[in-house]
Amino acid sequence: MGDEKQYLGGFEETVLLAIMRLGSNAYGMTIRQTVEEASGRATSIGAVYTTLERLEQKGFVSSRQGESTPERGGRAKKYFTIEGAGARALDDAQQVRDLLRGGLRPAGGVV
Amino acid sequence: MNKHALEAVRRVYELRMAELRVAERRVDELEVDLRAVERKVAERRVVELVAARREVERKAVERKAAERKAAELRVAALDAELRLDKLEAELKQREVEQATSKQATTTVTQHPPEFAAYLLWYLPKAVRENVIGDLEEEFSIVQKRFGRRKAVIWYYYQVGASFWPFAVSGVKKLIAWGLVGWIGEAIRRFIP
Repeated sequence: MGDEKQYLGGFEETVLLAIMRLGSNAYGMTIRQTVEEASGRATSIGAVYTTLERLEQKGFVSSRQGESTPERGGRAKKYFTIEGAGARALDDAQQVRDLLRGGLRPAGGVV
Repeated sequence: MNKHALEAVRRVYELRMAELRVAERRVDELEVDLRAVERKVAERRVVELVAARREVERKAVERKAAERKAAELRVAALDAELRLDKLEAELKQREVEQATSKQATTTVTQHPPEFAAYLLWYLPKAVRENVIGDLEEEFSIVQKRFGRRKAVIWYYYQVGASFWPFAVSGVKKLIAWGLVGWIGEAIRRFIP
């Protein structure tokens, strides 16, 4: 059971990639903005946090409390870091996609 | 030669001499006239030269005045440039002060709508503080960029759209706990 692979959902993968891209500045607001800019679709902070919660339960990301700022009404930031399992899950998802995508034209059909 | 002939020659001689004297007088008069004309020409020339010299002197004075004026204008231009630089610096300083003042004012008035913020207190406790903090931080950014009205609409959208994922997540957890399954099974038993 321990070796059972945990697959990534589409939005989970997007959020993981956003965290990876943001590096040490990955917290709720920046992740939401990055996902929204990359996908071009309106993304709610609630969707981001439920996904982050799920990813944390799966062990793909870890979180730590950051500094509080006046702009946030004195509330602390919660920074997220991608874990080894998360990075592996991203690689797996990429491999699956490459495997299925191989020999296909971008618009569909076989090369 | 008789006496009459001699008298006639003498008269002719005197006549010619008288004519000579007249001619000499005429020459003298012409000479005087010539000198007078020459003198007048010379005087006129002198007057013209004096006028020309005065004109040259006047032009020189004008040139000096123009040069002095140009120098004054150069100094004035430099002075104006310096004043312009000073004014620009003051303007920049004032803009910075105004921006700082505006920022300070904005910081005071950039709180999100209270009712929407109140709704967020119904979010799960684990994420509540982070969600409220993130939204408040981004609210001030949206407000600076698009104005308060759009920022309020954006905030309400975020609050509204944020409940749905948590609701779905909650239901999924309930299913995972088996509570919904148990209720479903119970209902199924009661329905023929």
